[in-house]
Amino acid sequence: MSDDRLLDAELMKRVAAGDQSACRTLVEAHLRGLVGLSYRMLSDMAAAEDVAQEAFLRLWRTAKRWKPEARISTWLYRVAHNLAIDEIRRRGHLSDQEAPDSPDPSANQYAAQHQTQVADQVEAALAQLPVRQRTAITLVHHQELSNIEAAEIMEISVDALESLLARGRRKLKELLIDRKQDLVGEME
Amino acid sequence: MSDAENKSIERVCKLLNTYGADRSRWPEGAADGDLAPREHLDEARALYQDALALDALLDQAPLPEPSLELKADILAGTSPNPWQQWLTLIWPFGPVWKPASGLAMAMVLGLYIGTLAPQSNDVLIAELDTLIAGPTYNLEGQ
Repeated sequence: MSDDRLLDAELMKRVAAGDQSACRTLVEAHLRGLVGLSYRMLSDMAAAEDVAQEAFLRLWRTAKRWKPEARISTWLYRVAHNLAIDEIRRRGHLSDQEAPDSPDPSANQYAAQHQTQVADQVEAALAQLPVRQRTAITLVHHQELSNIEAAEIMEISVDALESLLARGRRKLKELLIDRKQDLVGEME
Repeated sequence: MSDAENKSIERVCKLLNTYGADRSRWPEGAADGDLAPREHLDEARALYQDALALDALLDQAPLPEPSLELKADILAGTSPNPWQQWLTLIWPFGPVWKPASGLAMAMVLGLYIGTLAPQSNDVLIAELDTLIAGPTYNLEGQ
């Protein structure tokens, strides 16, 4: 068994014993990532925080019967991912369809004028991707998880993950790279 | 260009399109081997530049920070409630259901045995009556 898993098992023993510092360590290590992933999936900060909180509450409840072969990060992200998918289904927004072709940025000058921040523009482009593509990009690019771990969290094969990543990045290129010079100019 | 070179370029293009330009995000082992020298080839270089630009843009959209209230709420969920604290105080040796179920079993067993032996209670009560009333003597025959 890997060192990470042994450390995780030890940490969960402390959580099961009510050790507050172990709980705090886990919250510090994973809360931001969980909120980030949920936010990207739901585009709703309040709902994202609810998902992250529920994931941690489930972790605390699982502590006493924690299996040493599990990794806390993968477990937490998978629970948050599934909770977010449930929420999206509840709202009736889950779709694997490609987003419709984005309007020509020049045709949407009014909106562009109001999106002065590069981050907002990138966030808006991400929001146009189907949820599974932006989840894959968030896990691999922003959370810097390995392809195996990301696939495990999304409960898909590595091949399927790679397909989502490639399609997502291609779409983002279409949405953003055409305006690359403008955006890079704003970044500098 | 040899088949091996073609394959190598194809592989680099796939990695750039899927994982971006930062090799730290590539699958383990994918950045090893003879891929690096191939980047100077035009086809891979154009893709590399695009992937690099997209990575830079994605980095401009950082994940949001959770609120301090959320942290506090989550950690509050780990604190045992007063009832649990009291139980831990009187039974610090583990799950409290074990001694509680032992006590419950003893109580049920006691009640069961008690209801099975009514005769002995009657005898006891009769003996107590005798003791309280004192000895009775038949004086008429004397």
